[in-house]
Amino acid sequence: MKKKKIEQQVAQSFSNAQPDIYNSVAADCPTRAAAVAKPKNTTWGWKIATCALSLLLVVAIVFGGVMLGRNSNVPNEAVAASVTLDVNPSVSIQINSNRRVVKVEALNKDGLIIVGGKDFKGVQLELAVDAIIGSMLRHNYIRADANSVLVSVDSKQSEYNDLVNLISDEITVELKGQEISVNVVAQWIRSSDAASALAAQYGISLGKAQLITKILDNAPEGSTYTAENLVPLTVNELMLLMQNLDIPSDVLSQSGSANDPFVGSDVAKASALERAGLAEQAVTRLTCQIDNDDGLMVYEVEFVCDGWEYEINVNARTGEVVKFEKELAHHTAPVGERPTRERVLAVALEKAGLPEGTDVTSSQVAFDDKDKECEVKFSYNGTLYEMEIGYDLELISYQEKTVPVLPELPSENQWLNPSVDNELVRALLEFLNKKYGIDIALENTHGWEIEKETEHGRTTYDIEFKWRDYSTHYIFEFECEMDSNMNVLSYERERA
Amino acid sequence: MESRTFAKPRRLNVESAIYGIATGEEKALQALYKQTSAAIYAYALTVTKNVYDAQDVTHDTFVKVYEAAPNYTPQGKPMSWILRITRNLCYDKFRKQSRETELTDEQLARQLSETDVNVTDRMVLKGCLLKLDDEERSVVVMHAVGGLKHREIAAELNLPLNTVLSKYNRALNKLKEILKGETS
Repeated sequence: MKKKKIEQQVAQSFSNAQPDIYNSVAADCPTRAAAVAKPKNTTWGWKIATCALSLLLVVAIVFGGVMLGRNSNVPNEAVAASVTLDVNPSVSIQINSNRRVVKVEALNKDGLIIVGGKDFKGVQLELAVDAIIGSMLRHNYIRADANSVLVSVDSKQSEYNDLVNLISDEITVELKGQEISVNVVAQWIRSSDAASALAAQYGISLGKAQLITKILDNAPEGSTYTAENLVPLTVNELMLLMQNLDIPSDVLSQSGSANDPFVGSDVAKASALERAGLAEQAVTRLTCQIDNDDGLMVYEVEFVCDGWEYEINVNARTGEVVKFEKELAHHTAPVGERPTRERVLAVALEKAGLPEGTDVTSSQVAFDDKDKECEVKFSYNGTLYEMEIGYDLELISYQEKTVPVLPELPSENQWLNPSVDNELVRALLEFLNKKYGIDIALENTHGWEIEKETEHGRTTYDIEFKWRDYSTHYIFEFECEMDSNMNVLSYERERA
Repeated sequence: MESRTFAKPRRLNVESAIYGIATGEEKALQALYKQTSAAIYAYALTVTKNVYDAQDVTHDTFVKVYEAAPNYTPQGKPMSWILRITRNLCYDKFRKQSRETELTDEQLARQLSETDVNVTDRMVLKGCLLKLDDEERSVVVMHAVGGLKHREIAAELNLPLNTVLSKYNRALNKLKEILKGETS
């Protein structure tokens, strides 16, 4: 039995088991006489238009008395500031009051690759930044599709602007030389126990920790965020979350532009409204939030118009509508006799804009005599349609969902020869290597099982395989699920 | 004849209904009940493991939502907010009764005998309430019935996302085996 079917059965069983207690609820909740409250709209006061941060560069500079290993008898060795560069490699640069390097230190394994055996002592800060950025470029940590930079400065406020300008200019010039236009976002690091504790606990940069503590401190009641589930997010994703919250900030600036894999909420809203055939002025309660729908990054656009409530998902990378739903906010109970299945399907085709008699697949019609409504589902030409239609043949709700085009992938239950490579396997291994910090090579794997499931026009892959870690000689078993967009929906690892 | 399928609560509908309750719209409460009662009851049942307590908690959840509706500020999923109310009411019940229920097969069978569930439903409910651990049960119900995403569930239950994903898969695999056994 497919997982989706089990999920539906669980929902249906609990639904069937629930007693009808509406009357007793209504008795204790009398209808109010007058309007009492107006819901507040969520707003965000910090507009960060970055959507392409796949790398993070954090520069934390501490001026004015923050000393690390200071030796006051040797002024040229005295540390007046600390610069932390974090792009996945993490490198710390300590500088003196003349902005010359006292010490450079790698903070993680990738940082060691960047720093290597280089000696930066006595070098000007700008040159050190150039050299480190250049190294990151050569090692492909910074690329055309990963060109955004977060600069975190810890200094006296009077020094902040000069330092940000200095570092931003160096980064911009360095990357411009490689024909990469960079988006530099700068923030001032404020002394915060919470951010420091978070950085220490999770081994992340202070700048990223500050972003996360800002989100956590300002997330409203009912939010779904915890440190643990925010830490793995990229800075780009953190920025997107912050856009949905009302977080005041006066210490963030932005320059340049990012190579943005996401189309942005303006494009998403326009796409959604176009699909609905409505102008923005005609709708109310318009909201747009980035989300992840079954492994696909989407913008969820919602609005109300003429008594209809719309929910439209827009592919965050392409701007195409992938799901369109509308439902009547209130409707009077339908009346009339149960129509025939054929009549209901004909109405459904008309609502879907399909010609009469169109040959659809997997059509289902379910009748609810109590509410005098029908539920209709069918697929046509890569789109899944679902509607609720009253016995009076009036539309109550409508949903259409496009199904992604399936690339060439293994057939069901195919045992993969380790020498066989394909896009699905490559994407999965890349994902797992990043998530677990390991290095799975295809030739060290065996026992591959890939099961393809297609339901309601949507295809997923259940994948299992084993991997021998030659550093420890342990064998690990992996169980994963992916969709046809190469997104990993779930993953699990156990030692065999 | 095909029976009408369960539909997960939809954010805009739930939010509209809460707003309607706050502003005195007729039928808003009914709309909210229609959208959310199954999810609330399911979650209450998985926490209390008692059909009668779950019924009480469901009733009290709607009363609490009704009282809080005028001050409700739409941020995040309204269903998360509602299920949090449900969870707190369940724990209140445990405190008042000085117990958490340990449910046996016989007790569940007796409670379900007073409902209209069929054999498959009985098997699924039994599987959820008796064969899954507390976290597996919560994760499955919050996702399958409540419509919450895994990340939202991780935040609600204060669990890492990876843990929620693996518990969800493990729970579905357990239920798959139970249902396989039933059909064979």
